[in-house]
Amino acid sequence: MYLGKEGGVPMKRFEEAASLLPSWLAQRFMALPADIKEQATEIRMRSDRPVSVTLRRRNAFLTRAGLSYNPDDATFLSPRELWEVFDCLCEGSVYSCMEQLREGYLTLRGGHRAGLAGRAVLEDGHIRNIKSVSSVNIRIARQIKGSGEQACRTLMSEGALRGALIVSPPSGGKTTMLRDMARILSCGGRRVCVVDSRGEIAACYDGVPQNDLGPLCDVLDAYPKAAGILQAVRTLSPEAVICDEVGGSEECAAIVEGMNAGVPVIASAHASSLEEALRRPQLRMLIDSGAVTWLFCLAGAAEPGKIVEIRDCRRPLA
Amino acid sequence: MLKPVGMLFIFLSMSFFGFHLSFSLSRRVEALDYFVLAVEVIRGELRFLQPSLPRLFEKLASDPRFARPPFFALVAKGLSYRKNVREAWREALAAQARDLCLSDADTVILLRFAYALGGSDLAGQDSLCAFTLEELKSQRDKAAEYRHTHAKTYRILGVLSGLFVCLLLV
Repeated sequence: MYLGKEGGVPMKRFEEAASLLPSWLAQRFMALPADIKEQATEIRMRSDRPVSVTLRRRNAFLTRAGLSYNPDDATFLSPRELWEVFDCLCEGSVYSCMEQLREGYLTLRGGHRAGLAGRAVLEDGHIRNIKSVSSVNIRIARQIKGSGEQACRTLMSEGALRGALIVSPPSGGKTTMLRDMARILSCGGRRVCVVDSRGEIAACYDGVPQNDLGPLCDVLDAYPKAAGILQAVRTLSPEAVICDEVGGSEECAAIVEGMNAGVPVIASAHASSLEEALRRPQLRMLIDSGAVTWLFCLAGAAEPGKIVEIRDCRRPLA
Repeated sequence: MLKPVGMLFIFLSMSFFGFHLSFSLSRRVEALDYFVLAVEVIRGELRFLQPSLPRLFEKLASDPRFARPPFFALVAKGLSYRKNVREAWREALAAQARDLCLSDADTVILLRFAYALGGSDLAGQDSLCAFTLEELKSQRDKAAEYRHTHAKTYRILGVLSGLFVCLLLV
């Protein structure tokens, strides 16, 4: 019987993220009080600047005694120490993280994510590498189970799955919702493929999804969206394909091709409202072609994950 | 009674010493062969699979070709204790020094390899492996040549020295 992974209480997730750091720094975070660990969403480290912890909406600084809102008391990391942090997060294997480094992030064990800043090394105008890493920001992963229930109920209300688009401004909870929808559909017995271009949905580490996507989910990690959708449809016989942040012409064409092959795609797109989404030619094309049946509009950063509007695209739209 | 026993002991000790020196030359050649093969395997793994270093060394540790000496098992164990590859590799070399019989020059080459391993992109890692292979092969060829010219000499010297001392004591 598939029991799935535990979502993990916030404190456990914080400790899991902190344990990825070098031991001399990890023990400082482990010593923080439990209520701080419950609230922490990020650990931010910068070269020659204070180490900070983001607590819901405030930033606090790591000190010898714990945390303080005064940066003057804070612990500073030297460039060498920050490099040691970076080396530890890469497991001493920079070569194995090059694709992620070019995009400016590292996916860590447990599904956590380290955003990186430094000096870009360019080749033919493209970022080839980052050197002199100056900032490492660990975002503590928290999977919110249940965030996709309302959307899945709508999708499955007619029995057959249909294509859907989730629109929202940034930080609206689109990716969290897509992740949970993959889990719900997979746990409900549907074969799901996730095209995870930036490793944000499944957060694969060493080929293993660090987030719970259910027992019937295949992950195409780091695939370009268009190629991933087509490959999933052709080789993995999914009952649904899920991907994040579509909008380009290739991606939309791939979604239409998936629909033509009988595979609905559930995707997300940036837009501040449904009306703005409908004004975008590519998204409009998806709706007009029938590839998208349901539109879900989220509230935005003020209330992440809250669905404010559901539209059935089979009815006349504005 | 004591004198013949003492002479036998001296003869055997000095002969053993000569054979020990001879075998250490062979062990050094075998150790260098071991590391040449290991670096070739590492190079192939990095080129085609790009595993992280902990996974790479776990794989090498479980490879029967590298079971004796258990160098990579020690490195993998060190990495599992959150040490970095340089520390784990250095400690494994120190722990296996007696079995490997490597020279100082061999050790420097291996430590340099470990220091640079994992710290650059694939092209850099490939160059590192190629360079290290070249150095190790050169060391191996020199060691094999030295063994060829000196191993028998050490054995004979050991036996003859033992006999000489025994004759002196007679």
